Amino acid sequence: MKKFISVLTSALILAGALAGCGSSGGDAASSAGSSAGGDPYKVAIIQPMSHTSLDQIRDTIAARLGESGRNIKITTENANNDSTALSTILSNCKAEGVDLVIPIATSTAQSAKTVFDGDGTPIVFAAVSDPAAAGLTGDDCQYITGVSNNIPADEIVKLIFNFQPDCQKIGFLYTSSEPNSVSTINSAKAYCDQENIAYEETSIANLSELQTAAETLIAKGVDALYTGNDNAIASAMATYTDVAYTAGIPVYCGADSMVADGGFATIGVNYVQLGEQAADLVLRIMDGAAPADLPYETLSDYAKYVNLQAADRFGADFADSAYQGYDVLVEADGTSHFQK
Amino acid sequence: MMIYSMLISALSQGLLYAPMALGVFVTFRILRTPDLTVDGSFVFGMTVCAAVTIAGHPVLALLAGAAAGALAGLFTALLQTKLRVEPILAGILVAAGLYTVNYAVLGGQSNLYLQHDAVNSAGAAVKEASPTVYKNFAALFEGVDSKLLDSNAQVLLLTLAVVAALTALLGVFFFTRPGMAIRATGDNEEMVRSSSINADLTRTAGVMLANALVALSGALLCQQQRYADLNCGSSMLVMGLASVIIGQVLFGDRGIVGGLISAVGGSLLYRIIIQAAYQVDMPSYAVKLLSTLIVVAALAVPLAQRKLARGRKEAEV
Repeated sequence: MKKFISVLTSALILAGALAGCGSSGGDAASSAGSSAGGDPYKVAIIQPMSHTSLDQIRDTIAARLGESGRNIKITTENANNDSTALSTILSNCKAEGVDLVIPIATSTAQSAKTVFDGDGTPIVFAAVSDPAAAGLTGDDCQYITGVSNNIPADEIVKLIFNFQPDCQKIGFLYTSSEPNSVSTINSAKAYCDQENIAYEETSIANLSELQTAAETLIAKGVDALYTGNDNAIASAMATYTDVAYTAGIPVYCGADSMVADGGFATIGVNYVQLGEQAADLVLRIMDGAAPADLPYETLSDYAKYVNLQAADRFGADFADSAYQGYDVLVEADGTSHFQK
Repeated sequence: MMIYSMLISALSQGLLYAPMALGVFVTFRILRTPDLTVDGSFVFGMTVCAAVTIAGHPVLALLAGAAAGALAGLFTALLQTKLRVEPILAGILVAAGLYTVNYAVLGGQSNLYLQHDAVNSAGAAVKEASPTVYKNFAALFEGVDSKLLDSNAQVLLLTLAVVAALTALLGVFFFTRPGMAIRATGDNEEMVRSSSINADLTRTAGVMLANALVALSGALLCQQQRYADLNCGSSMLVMGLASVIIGQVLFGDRGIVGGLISAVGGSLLYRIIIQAAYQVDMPSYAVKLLSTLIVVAALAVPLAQRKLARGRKEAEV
């Protein structure tokens, strides 16, 4: 027991020494702007792991805050895919007295809510797909706001009507065992019901049914086909688009990779936009806005891609104006700009 | 103040993972069998606890979480004893299968926040945070305005009580007849069989106990952080093992009670090391390597001590 206590004490002293020598901690501790004197406004950006899109959000926020010319000190932290480290990092931030926290992704935001529970530090989350379900919108979230990366159903339907303003009926095709795909289709259907847009739907249990399912939908007279971010169907885009394009029906989908593989057009998350909106929320809070008065935002602009080769295959005759704001992912001659 | 609050945070986190370290201690040190069910049973405890907590029974949720872990342990043990599957493989199989089960318990999603539908005073439908044991405990301190007793300190107090009780119970249990039988199974299974004890049964009991402890850790964490997430199980086993070994190395290998206390101490130390590592002024992606180096250094301590002692003895001669 004596040894137990002595070892624990010496470890505590060692930890204290370590903590003392590295008080700032973090990747890019940078002070932006020097016009305002006094203590900088301390902002911590915390991401759960390294990932192209998460990194893009982090860099955009840091850059945008840096450009603002305010006296902001930004630290960035990464839990390196170790979920147990999230609490640790956030507690460190709290102990250092950060003025505002930016957690990226759902579980990071939830941990931040727990760690900073009720102490009044504003939390601006980024890339939480469903803030209400994640517990970030309730009465105990007066200090929490942020930007969701959810793509609303109406945007999906608008995508179709952008190219086919006279579309009469939409066909939804999805794999029944994929929750993400099913939930996208469900919200799109709810929107169609509300707006009185006709649709047909077919689900498949496995890929061998794909061709029949697509043919069934086309036989029911749909003018456009939509499939969400469906991993199974994404792996069989050739089969899917062959059936659809032979009948002259465009295929809209939920991921840029599906457009690269033959789908016609998609709408997706623009991570730079997401980062900029989050940074703007931070600046407004710095200006004195109360987080409680700032409801969480959805994206105001999306990443939009088209495949011109696919357009040729189903004989598209859409107006040039329809393509405005869309990036060409695959050229008419098959040159792909898609980068995984 | 900063060091104090960081220390409290590290200790409270370390205590939350202490039951898991105790579970790993039971399989690795007492049963002397590697059990890789841990990554799965930790999350199983978490998801079941989340579901029951949302239903409004925070204390029952902890017990249900532990029971879920015991069930996972039962499957691993059945694979080991009835199908004669290699222990390592048995654990991996059950942990893999549990992924689907956990996904289903969370209602087909990967993340679940502890909240339920409610109607607020204005009559609007809102999401209301579900009560947890930590929340109920914190309510006791309402009105006590002390800087020293922040939310982390409250978590620390309650978890400390749970872990102390667990350690004491386990300490007593391993001196009872069934507890002794489990220890004997780990020491010498042949001898246990020849003294007409059903070794399969004692092994099963041991693995179930271990996974119940691991799952209880997941359940406690779930209530503390107020959400369950499928990704929370990754690298749990490594952490548990590191805790057990650090504890053993630093506090010595002194019997069953000493071992249990060492596992808890190891879990605390591991968290302190990680927290300190994140404090060092360097890119946070370097933390993994740094914490590995610190653990390796801790492991090298006893050998270095022995060498030093021998050198001194030789010098004297």
